[in-house]
Amino acid sequence: MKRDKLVFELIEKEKKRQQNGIELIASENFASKQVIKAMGTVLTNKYAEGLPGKRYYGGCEVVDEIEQLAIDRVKELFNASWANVQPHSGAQANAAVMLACLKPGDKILGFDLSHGGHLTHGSPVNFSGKLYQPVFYGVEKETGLIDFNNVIKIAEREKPKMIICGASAYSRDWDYLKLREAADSVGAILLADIAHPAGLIARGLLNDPIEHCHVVTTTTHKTLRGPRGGLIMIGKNFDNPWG
Amino acid sequence: MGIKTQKGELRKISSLLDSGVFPGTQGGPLEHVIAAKAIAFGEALSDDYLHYIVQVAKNSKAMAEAFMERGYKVISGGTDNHLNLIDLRSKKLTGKQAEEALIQADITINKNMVPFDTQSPMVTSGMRLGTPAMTTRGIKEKDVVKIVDLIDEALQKPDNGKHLKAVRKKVNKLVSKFPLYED
Repeated sequence: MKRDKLVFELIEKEKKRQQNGIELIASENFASKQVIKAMGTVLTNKYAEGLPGKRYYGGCEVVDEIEQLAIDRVKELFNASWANVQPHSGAQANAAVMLACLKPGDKILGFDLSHGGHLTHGSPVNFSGKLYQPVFYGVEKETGLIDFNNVIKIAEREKPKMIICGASAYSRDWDYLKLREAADSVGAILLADIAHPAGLIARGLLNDPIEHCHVVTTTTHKTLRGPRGGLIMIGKNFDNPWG
Repeated sequence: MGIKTQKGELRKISSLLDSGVFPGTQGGPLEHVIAAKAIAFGEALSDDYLHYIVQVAKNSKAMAEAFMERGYKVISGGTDNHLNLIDLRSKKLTGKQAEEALIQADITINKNMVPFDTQSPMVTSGMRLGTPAMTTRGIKEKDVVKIVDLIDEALQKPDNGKHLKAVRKKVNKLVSKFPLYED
């Protein structure tokens, strides 16, 4: 096959752009050479629907080992009891969690997008705002901080089936204990989307959501500095309360 | 109470979440990306990464202080993590103006809504800046101060192409000290 000069020249141009500038987009990072190398390998050829040891295709012995390694390492990193490393992105991870835990039309309580929240936490233009019924909490006008006691009040008033915490433009830490109190007061599932600060949480620089939240999602390419992707974790497994 | 398997056993939340991914919302997993995730998680467990992420937080705090010293309003008055959200209204700038000016100086930030923003999402009153990427290149607190100076310099004359080109030269010189992906 003839080498596609056009595309490779554009990739080189993008590399130069990354090298020459000051990159301050908070959701971006520079993955290591070995992380990048792994993505350009024969593994892209393999179909592996299912989970390690339980696949719908043959020939998955090697990818089973690879995926299990990813699961074991991320469980160690976050002190999680279970993880699924297959979500293609943080948005996909959130979609999977909502599909598993909610019915269409259920009420969800998320952090307001215009205060620093994320599209997948109930924005009307996103699946989360179209399939579910979103209500929001925000920051206080004077301080720019979330008043977690106020979140409890909103939860008690709105009685959501799910409370979502996490943001894309909030520079402060989260009170997961208070949020769990809010969730428990109305029997809601508490989802923490730690896409942004995941690396700081993993190494103990911020409060730990794993012990207080029912489910935790993240991307893998921001502070975690891995490939573009997502994952889902839980701290403590429990029987599902639905159906 | 609770969703059960065909055998009548109560399903754990983990089992429902697995089904939520596949077959619920995705097809085949990207095993090449999962291999890269495994590598990244291994890296994140290392001492090198711990030093890195501690520096990310230190640089972010240094950035908040440097902006405040230069008269910028940092939302919530500081940061606990890797990012800062700046309200540009006191500088008589929109997020869109800042983003467009800085890109001409080879500085990439993004315009961002600030809480109770009066501008539309395509214009905004703020900008969001994070330290993860540049910390990977090796910058420390003193370099963060230099970067904030360059941003402030660029935003003094956001419509002056010649001025922004001069700032760009300084930017290119600064980053050349922090190599990235060199063979």
